Amino acid sequence: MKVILILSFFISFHSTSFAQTETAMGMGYPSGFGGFGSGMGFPGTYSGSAPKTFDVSGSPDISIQIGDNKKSISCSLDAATKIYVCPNSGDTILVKPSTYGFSALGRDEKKAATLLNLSHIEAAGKIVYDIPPMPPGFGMGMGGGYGGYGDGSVKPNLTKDLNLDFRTRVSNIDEFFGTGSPLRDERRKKGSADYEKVVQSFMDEKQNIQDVIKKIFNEKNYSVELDDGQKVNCERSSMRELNEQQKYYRDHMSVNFKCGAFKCDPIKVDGKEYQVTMLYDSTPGSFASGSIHLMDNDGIGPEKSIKKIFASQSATPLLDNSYYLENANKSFNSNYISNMLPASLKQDRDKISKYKDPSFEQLIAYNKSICDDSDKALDNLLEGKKKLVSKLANLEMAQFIQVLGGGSLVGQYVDPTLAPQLGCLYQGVYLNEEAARNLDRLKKNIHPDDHVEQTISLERATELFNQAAGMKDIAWKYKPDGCYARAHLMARRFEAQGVRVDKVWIKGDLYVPGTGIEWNFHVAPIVYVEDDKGNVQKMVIDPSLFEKPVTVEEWDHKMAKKTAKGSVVAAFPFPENSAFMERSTLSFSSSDPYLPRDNINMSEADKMEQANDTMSMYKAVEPK
Amino acid sequence: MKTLIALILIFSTTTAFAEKSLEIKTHVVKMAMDGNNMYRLELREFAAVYHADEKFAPCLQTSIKEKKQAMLKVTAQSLVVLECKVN
Repeated sequence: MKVILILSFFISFHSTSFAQTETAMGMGYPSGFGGFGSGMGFPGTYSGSAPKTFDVSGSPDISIQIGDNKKSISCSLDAATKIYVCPNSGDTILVKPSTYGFSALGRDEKKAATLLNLSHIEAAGKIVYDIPPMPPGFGMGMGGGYGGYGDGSVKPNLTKDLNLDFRTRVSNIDEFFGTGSPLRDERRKKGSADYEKVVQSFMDEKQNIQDVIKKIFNEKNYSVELDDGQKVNCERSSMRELNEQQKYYRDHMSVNFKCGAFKCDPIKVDGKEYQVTMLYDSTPGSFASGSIHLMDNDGIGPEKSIKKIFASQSATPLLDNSYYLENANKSFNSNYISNMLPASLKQDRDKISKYKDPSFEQLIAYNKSICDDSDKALDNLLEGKKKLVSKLANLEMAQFIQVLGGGSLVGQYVDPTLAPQLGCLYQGVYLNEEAARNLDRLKKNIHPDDHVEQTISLERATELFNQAAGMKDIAWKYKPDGCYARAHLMARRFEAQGVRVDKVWIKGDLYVPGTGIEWNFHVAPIVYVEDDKGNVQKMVIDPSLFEKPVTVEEWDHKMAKKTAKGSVVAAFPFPENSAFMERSTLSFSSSDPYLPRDNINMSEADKMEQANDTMSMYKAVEPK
Repeated sequence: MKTLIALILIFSTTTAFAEKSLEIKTHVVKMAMDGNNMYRLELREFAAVYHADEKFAPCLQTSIKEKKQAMLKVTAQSLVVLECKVN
């Protein structure tokens, strides 16, 4: 069962893991943070979580109770804004109806703006709302749904850092008043002088927080505590001159560009000294958790994580990752990636999973565009990453082919130590149960018949090539896509002339230099050419890339690869995780498969219809 | 009159150079952020790498996670997603 679970994980990884959008750099924050914590249901009179509007419009005065405090506070309606003003020993509370009931903005014991838990409201002597106070961690406010940690499954005992403080306090104020941008600030409904005085006190508080925090978050030097307790000083790199587009964003869209690359003191691990670079987007309110990178002449060094980041002006850390380090050692993405990697990588497995995270290069690219990298720290990190992940290229992997529920064929590289437990072995390839059951239909695709009787001469191959290039219904001038449709139409037309045709597929991170073409895979028909001495060679007919038939090697070399290793040969369907494993893969099949993830139940008529439809679509947009 | 001719010329020139678009039905297999804050897409029924802005992430993710067909409007040559719909 475990094996099946691991396998499902392997396979689903490539369908889902990169779909994450949240994780930017390292550890993600728990879901539901600061959002609506709906779905918990209100016990008692108002059970259930369905949105409900409570009508108190007829009551100029209400009384409220906060949390488990039984003290009633009287409130008067500010007619212009429809917000109740509740004087409370100098800390006036504001209450307004919201989608789910009411929201209340007041101050906590430290006099900081906070959304309060309303537990009881009376209007005109009638109870309008009454619920028991929420336990800690379910900080929804009375039906307001603001603040707190909406996902009740997440333990709320997070250390409060300045970043979190900034987000909660400022967003509490902005959410209550609907402010947060110059336009929204201007549109805020104005009320009586008394009401405006209270509003101003919150706006002043917001401004103070922003001023202080912006200053701290812009500091050049930070002290960083690592997960092993070591402390290092890090200095922010200088900015380079922004390009025109960045200047436009800065000047017209208030985008604040700030270098997030820091050079830190060298540190020693096991007696070896490493250069240290920190990547940290110190933008107030950012969800970034920062990352630390150790390098020496051999490349990327041991793994370290940031526990806390301090600025000289504040005893409270800007960032405190303690909770995440204790509860989840690695990012969501890294866990996925780590589970994809063979155990034979040993200690490199965690490192590779960290650097394979797509957000790493994104972060480097961003910082390279705005930071002065004259000491090449960022370039060196990229080089270090390349060197590290190139270890994947030479790993021995097994190939696993599955027929999935809907009939789709899928190939994957898998850990060879796990492969025997995944399925049965057929000619060097592991098959799942469904694939094995359909072996009679699949085997000519997994390994096409090597015994070829219908060979042709090179002249005949050239004739077929010219014939194909002259096929008017094929969109030859439309280069970006459609190879599968072209290959299928050519194959069937050559076969109709008695020629043996198979297909060659290539999978990887492919591009054709100088053309702007990028492919996830490419396919073309092959014919078998016999020379005067009786030698038989596969020749590719691909007028989209060449002007004559070419060998498979020539065809392969035409496409450049962004992976560490060149092409290797595997069975069809090619492993979809080829590029992830830092290689491109050539596969040969019969002429039957239309797409690499073919549905084995797809009829030939359907394939031809799809091929013709695809060519018609591309014909309409091909350059004249 | 001259202004009108100039406007017609400008209009026809820009129209001629404007990239055509295609509407495709597909299943999104994978999306990975590149260095330019754009997603590189792998589509089950297509061979090329397509590109999408961050704003299409929810739609694209729905196609991946729920294995649903997505209707994409894309530029014909540069293969950039202009619209995304999943039923």
